[in-house]
Amino acid sequence: MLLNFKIKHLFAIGLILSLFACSKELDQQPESAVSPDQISASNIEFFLNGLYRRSLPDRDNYILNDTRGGNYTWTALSGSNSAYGMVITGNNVDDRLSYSSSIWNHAYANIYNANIIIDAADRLAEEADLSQVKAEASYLRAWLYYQLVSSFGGVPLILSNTTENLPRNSAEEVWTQVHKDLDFAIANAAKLSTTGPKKVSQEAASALKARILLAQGNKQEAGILAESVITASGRTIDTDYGRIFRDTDASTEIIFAFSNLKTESNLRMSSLYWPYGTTWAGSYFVQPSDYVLNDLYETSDTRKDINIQTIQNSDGSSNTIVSKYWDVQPLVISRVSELYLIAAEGKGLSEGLSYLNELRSKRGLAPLSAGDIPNDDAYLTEILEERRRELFSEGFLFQDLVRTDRAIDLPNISSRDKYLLPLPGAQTSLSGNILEQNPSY
Amino acid sequence: MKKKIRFKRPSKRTTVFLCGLALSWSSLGQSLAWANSEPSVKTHAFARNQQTGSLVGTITDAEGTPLIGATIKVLGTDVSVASNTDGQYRLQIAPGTYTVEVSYISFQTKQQSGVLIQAEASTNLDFTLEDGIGELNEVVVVGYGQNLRRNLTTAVSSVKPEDIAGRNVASANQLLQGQVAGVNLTSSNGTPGGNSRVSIRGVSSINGDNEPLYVIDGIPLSKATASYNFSGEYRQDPLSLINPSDIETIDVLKDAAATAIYGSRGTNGVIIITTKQGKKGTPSVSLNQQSGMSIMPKTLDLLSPSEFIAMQTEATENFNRDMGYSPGSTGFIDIDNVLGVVPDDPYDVNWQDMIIRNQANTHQTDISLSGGNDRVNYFTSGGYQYQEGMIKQSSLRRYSVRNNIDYKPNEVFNFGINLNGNYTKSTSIPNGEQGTALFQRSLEQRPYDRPLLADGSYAVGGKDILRHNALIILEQDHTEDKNFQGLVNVFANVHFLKHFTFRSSYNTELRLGNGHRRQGFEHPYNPKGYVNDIRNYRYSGTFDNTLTFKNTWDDLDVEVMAGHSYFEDTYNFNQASGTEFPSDDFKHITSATIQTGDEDAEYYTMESYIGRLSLAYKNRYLLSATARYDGSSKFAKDNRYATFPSVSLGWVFSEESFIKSPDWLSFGKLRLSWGKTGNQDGIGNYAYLPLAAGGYNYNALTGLSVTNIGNPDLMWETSEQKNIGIDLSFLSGRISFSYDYFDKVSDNLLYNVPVLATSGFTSRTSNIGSMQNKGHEFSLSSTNIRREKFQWSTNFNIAFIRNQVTSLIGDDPILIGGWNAIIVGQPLGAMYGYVHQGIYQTLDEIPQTLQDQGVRPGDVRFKDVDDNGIINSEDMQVIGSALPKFNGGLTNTFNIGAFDVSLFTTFSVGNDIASAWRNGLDHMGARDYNALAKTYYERWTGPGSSNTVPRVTKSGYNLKNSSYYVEDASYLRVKSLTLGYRLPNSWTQGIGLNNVRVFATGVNLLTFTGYTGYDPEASMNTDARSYGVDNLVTPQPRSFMLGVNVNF
Repeated sequence: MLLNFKIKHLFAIGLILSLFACSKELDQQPESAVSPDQISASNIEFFLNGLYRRSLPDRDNYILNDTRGGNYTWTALSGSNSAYGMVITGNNVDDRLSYSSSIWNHAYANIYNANIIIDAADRLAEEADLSQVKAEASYLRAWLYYQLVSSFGGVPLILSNTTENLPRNSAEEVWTQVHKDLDFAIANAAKLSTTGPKKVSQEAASALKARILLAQGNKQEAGILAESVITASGRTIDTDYGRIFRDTDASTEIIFAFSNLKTESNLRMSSLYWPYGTTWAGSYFVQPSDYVLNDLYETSDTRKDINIQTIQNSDGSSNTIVSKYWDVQPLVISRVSELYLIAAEGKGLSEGLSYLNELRSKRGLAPLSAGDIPNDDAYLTEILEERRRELFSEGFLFQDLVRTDRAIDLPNISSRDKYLLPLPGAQTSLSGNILEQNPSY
Repeated sequence: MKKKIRFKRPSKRTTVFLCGLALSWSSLGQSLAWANSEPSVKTHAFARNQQTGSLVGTITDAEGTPLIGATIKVLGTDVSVASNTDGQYRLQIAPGTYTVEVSYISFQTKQQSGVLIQAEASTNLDFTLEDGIGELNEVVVVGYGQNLRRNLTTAVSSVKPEDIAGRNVASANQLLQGQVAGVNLTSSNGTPGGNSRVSIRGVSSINGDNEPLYVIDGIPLSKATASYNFSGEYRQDPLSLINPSDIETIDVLKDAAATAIYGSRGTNGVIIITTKQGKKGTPSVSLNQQSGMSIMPKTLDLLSPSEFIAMQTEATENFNRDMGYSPGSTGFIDIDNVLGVVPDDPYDVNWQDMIIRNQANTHQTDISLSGGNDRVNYFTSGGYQYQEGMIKQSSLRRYSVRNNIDYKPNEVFNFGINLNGNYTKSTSIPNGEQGTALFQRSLEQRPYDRPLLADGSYAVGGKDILRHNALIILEQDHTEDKNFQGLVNVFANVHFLKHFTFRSSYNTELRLGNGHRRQGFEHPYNPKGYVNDIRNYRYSGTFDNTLTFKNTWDDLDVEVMAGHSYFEDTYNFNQASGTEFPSDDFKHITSATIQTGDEDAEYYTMESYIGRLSLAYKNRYLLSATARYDGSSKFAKDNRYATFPSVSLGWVFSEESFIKSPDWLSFGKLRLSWGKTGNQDGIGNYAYLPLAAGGYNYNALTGLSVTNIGNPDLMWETSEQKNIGIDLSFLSGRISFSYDYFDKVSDNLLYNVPVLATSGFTSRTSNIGSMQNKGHEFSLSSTNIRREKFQWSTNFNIAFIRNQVTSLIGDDPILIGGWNAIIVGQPLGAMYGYVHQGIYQTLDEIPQTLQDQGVRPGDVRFKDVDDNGIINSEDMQVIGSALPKFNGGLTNTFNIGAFDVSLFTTFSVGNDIASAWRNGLDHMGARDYNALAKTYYERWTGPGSSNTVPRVTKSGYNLKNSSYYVEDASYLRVKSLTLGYRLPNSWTQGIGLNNVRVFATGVNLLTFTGYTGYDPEASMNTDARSYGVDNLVTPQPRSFMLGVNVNF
């Protein structure tokens, strides 16, 4: 009896204990994430902030147009057979190029988040006026598609998120959408004076649009737009060129720059250029090309010593480095000097030269006189050289040479097919070649 | 019949079971045999009517372990009894003189004649039985129960660490290497405690995790690495937290019928570790001490300064000429830039020696005390182990304590607690796939590059010398991982109603980890210092309740077990990092200018119902069926539960009278099994949910971002395995042989599949395909010579396993890193690249398109699969596989008088290595680095000079990841050789010691392989998708040890 009594108790205990184990315990919810469908008028700003954060371009991609355009050569650390060396020499570039996949993946991951915000802004329009949020997301989407279309040509245009296997749209369709998004941003974003340069403003959208109009060869419109942004933004050419990159928040030039706090994205442009063992220690993967070092700048040019520096080593050797960036600073996307250059180019020799000269004088160069410039082509050459000097290591050169069809003279460009990058091989093969590869890759 | 009523009673509680109750029937507690707990006495009817005498005694094996269920027969009568759970027997018989025979399965039958029985008196007669059929009588731990090997119907192999002499391993799982057919253990990294890859019966899952489930005394161990602050290749194996000396046996459950009881965690096999338990007898103390040292097994021959300069000069000239470059043109390579500053006295700097210890020391001390009586058994131990790695600054030390107690106050109840506390501290240094990787960066230096400048300061990589300076890394980069691990297993067994056992056990693993990494002011990456500190908390608990019923009706033995198991896993980490310190004196984050912190937690739970039915008829026909119903929090509600059943049959044909088995065949058993298991490892805890994660702040404003697309259809990965096996034993067990054939098909493979990036994501966790592993396993053990003064025994095992991916969604290869791909029809993680078809000897062999790219005679002829004159990713093919064609181990043990010798070799044939490191060190001048001497000497220098090694040039064309860099890494390795000597007791008893053995061991003494790298087992990670890629991971050292075992 006693035994049986104990057993009953044991069963009872076992039963009670096991009741703790119930299937409800299998509903485990994450504690650091929510379902994306919880997006609402009250938190859509958070999603927008997340989009800004992740849209910040990769370091190497940001200056890829300098690498491809002839501003750099490789170093002993990277070597002629690294990804840098390959795009500098043009040798062995194929569809496994790391730049291709990183540009592609980065753009579409952010386009996805931009689409979510734009969709939600439309859906929630009755609850709250979210047009400003939508405007900023539209700008970022346009900016991402601009990177895609200028790198690859036509790409799948995804405005509503899908997992479908889509073929490439034409480049024209992508350009059209970029304009559509930018026009929306221009119409609905707040003014720069309200947003500050870390957020997208009307002026930022117009500045990007001016750049894109120029890229498409629509010089006149680009010039007019650039001129209007110069006036509207209230920004002026910074008399201290170095400050733009080394103390960006104090600069007078910035129209739009991604915030880049050390406690957040902590993107170090400086670490690409500075050798180890120096103040801004980095990997020193590229160095100025011979042309940049010897021919690009006149002695009086205040930009020269900011952009290029020679470090003497104790054994008597020396290293030439791109010294433009120090530490961690906001990443500049649009600044007023670019708009002076767009205005100068867009408005042509007669009306534009004053813009060019205004910039030159700020940089310690003598003004050019119209009489010394024989024709439009010579003027374009002057503008392009000035752009190369001013926008060195800011990701412009190669696109400037492509849009003016001068890239064909580059030693790393064997044909016009090479103006575009190969689509990432992993993506074309995942698509079963529904994504068609660019010619000659 | 009382029995029947009692049998019925529990069945009334079936309603309770349906409720999903944690009740069960298990046999874990005590009884191994089918006998009842009281001695069963069958005496002849007439004997009771007369005055009788009694015969009592204990039946034990040679080691004194009681044998349960041995048959004691009085010859010439029909009196026979079986021994009870303590090995005791008692029988009543009429006075007289008898011959008594004791028999027991797998032991040699023994007779004692002239046993005198007197009326009303008790005669004591103990028997010690000698091993008959070796392993058949050993107890094998199966999931939630145990069984005798003889009666097993599944494929389970056992390893007793004691039988593997002198293996000074850091991680318990390394004990398995070469011991079990079908278990492929490779120590991919020779750093002490570095993780090993263990694959049981091939690779079953596509995702990273193919490690088996380890269950130590009922506690399922977390597979998470014990390293927190990764610096390069080093990942501390979670099994390195446990002291291998505490292990009694390791049982490897291989087929699905054995692992299905572990359901969703059984696909990769289950390894059950049982720690030592106290044994009845006087307390005994065992002390084991060994010390030794390790040396680097191999160094690589590189070019001398003059050869280096000659190679780079030739390469530069060839390249500039081919490309038509002249000084000033983009692409022109200036030899002065390549060579850097060549010192006036360009002596050869030996960078390898700079990072490798001349000798790495190891020590190990273990002490244990064990004993017990009828009520309490105890085992308590303490251990210390210290191992230095071959790379300077790397080391692992471990302190461990264990206390196992089993208390049995009465026949109904027993309970116990196994307590184990471990502390490890490891220091590591970046190697492997890392910018500052010591081996690669050191070997790649120009041979005249020196670590220090004339003024005594560090030479800086990329500025003063070519590559990162290993000396800076050694002195400025410190990583320390600390682990506290608590393993607690509390259990209670209640034996009631004669046939029932209720067992409840609570098993927990608690791990507290701390990884701390600091880089000093002169570290290249962070000129103002960097500290990263990670704290990790992991708690997992399993609450198991089982009820077992067990009875014998005449020739039928029945065991039924049912139970419930609940598992929870809590993971919590926090991390802080700081940069920009005031000076090098400040070593903690509190002084940093930039401080960032992070904290997160994850939960994962499982609920399971388990059951098993075992039947044995006449000890000849065996059947076992198991089922587990598992629910996991990792899947959406509708896919949360799955059932994993299994059935296995055994037939001991040697017991059949209609089969005339010859005398030399002592035992034969045929096994057949089928089962289904699952897998859910290697996927995120919330992979099925679309997630908008926090932390994506921008400009100090709150940010959210969608980081996971989710997959509501995500479900269990399942695998179905069939097994047929035969166990044979010859010459009374002197030779035993096992063979198994298995066929395992894994379906609905879980994988983080690359998806079209246009979806917004580059991968999505999905169920994507199927894979098959099939293979043959053979194991043979033999006592070749058995004389009093000389014994020689041999153990041999070999397995032939084929792995094949049988389907994927989409036929295109899924590329994994630079060297591997997942391709239908190929083994998982096949090496994938360009095919080296020889060397172009003359210009007219080269297609114009390639000539335009600068390809010239002496360059590699890569296979142009689509024949379009362009070599791009369309031309890649399978060029190797890390999975061996066959592998195994051979152990020979000799006992010659007081000496013992054990020689253990392992082998693996057909496994390839992608020697990624050669892309940096066998570049024929394409890189500015130093290079291997041998291939440089064998390079192409003109038509006909070589058809394998290309010419030297700065062009990167020949550097493609191709079959040129894939090597056959088959090997035969003398893993250990031990020589021991047992001191005569007459010497030692004077000082109170007995059984003193001194020994010397050599580990990795010899390796026969064609592989050019350091170690043919090398792999930069243990991921099955990219296994066998070597970037000069730290090799396993050659070690020598001296030690002593003392018992008193």
